Amino acid sequence: MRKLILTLALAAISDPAGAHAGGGRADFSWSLEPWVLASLGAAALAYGIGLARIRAEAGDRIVGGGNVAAFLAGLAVLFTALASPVDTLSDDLFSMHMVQHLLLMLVAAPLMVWSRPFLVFLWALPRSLRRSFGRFPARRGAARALNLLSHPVFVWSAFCGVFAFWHIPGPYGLALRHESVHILEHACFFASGYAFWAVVMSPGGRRRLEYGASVLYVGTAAVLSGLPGALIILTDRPFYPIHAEGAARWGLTALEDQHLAGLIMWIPAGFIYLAAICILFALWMREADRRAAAFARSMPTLAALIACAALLGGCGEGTEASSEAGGIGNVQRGAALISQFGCPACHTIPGIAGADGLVGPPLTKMGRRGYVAGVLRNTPENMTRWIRRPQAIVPGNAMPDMGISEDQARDITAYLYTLR
Amino acid sequence: MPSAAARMRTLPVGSVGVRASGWWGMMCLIGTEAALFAYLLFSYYYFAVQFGRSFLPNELPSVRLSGPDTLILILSSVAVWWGERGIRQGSTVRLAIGLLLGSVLGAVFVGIQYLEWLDKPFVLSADSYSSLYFTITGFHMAHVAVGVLILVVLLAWSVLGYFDRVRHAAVSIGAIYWHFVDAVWLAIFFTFYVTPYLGW
Repeated sequence: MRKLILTLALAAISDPAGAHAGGGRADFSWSLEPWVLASLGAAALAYGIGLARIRAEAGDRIVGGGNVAAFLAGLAVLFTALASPVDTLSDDLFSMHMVQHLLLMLVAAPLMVWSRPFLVFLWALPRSLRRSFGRFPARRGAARALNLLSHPVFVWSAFCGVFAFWHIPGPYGLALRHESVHILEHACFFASGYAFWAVVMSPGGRRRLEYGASVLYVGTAAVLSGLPGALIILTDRPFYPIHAEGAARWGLTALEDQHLAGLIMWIPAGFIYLAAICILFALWMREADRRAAAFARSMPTLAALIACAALLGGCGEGTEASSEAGGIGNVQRGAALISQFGCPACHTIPGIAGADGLVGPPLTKMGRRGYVAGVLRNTPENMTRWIRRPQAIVPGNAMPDMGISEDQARDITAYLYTLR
Repeated sequence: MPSAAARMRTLPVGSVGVRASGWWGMMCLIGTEAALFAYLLFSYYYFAVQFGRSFLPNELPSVRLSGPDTLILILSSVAVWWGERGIRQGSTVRLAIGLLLGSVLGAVFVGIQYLEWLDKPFVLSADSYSSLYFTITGFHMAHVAVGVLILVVLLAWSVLGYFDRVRHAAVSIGAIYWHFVDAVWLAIFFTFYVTPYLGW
């Protein structure tokens, strides 16, 4: 049975001429409605003007090539969904109508989110209007309303609710009979889709929802939006008699058309959700890697604690490996080298016996200071360079080159970074 | 540190903020209960698509009792939310009033639901619709009853002074359960009382 449906459907889609057997005339024309073309054209024009102004002020840092490509692709998908034969065919076939809805919610919406349209459209406005519009979201009431409307729980419910509601036979039939309701239906799909994907995508770099929660957010929506698809497939009664005549034109019964629509709602849509989940998961793992690296960089604090414990307990052997943990050098060897090279004569260095010199600057809290010698950013690499060849960096300063090796300088740096 | 401890007359109760293990436990519970209700409502829709309108009872469900009941449940959620906002500003009194209102309205909801049950001309075993009606609303009433119990316990604790501006994780955890139970009711209300009138 299922096989028969697919064969029929494939035949109908790939070979419209052959499917005319069902009777009537199959319409394969474009539906170039003026208001659709005008809206898409106006959006493109506004985006172009805004983009040119942003580029003039800030180059391509804020709206890059990827964002512009997403806008063009999104516009192409909207055009395909609303003006190409996809729209004409969806008057006949419920299954093609489903394709149209999924294009709006799951393809055009995320592409548009990535293109940062609100930002660019804002720049298309004259300066004075831009100011007042730009300030609007910062107003107290507006900020609260926007915050509530973009809350993940609210957006998730609206997205799933809108999707289920418009496929109930009553509202669906109403939309097909009245053009204005039909426009409202499509606007609902696109707007709820836009809000849905805006929660998990961050073209501006600021995330509304962290990655783990985003995976759950998309995953639960995917499962839930499969349920209406299941209902549409698991029945032997056609729900949408309005399509019976149209389906016949393509050699399908209303029920076959409906089963096909349910499968499209369930499986291809499922692939899009799955792809989104995979991307979010990969980004999540990448972020975890970054966090682990940042944690390793901040390890000297821990290394210092371990070093202190080792000194107190007098068990240097056991913690030898641990005191390398900072990844810079060996903290204990560094402390010994500081005494050996005579640093205490000029510097005050916490934790080193007799280091109370007043010639050079005190090295208290060296791990938290911003600059080395007032000229280099305080990073482990710069600190090591400075300790080895201070005269090469600031010729004539009071700190002599002591002939310290790279490894020794790294050990000393490791110790200094424990001073926080 | 000792000075900070000495300033406190009694040891604090409960964790700071809401991200306590109890919070995650509640999130998991909400996950399982949401799945339960999703399956129950799916069964309803499954029967509906199999049998069409003949699945519905002759007399379509009316909003005479369920409409006001829905409003009562929403109001109880608002009351609990208002009380929780109160304790965040340190007002135990506002918390206690919110919890009291929430639990009373919750109990009224259960009472009106029971009246509606008595009002139905069919029993649990009459047909697939009646089975689903009593199973789904029954499961929901059980959840409301548990919620009222939680609110009453929280009310007792707030009167005993267990909560303050910083430590009120239990209130937030109980409140999120209550809001969840209300959200489930909205889905049930839409399913039983709205979809029959949408035309199918």
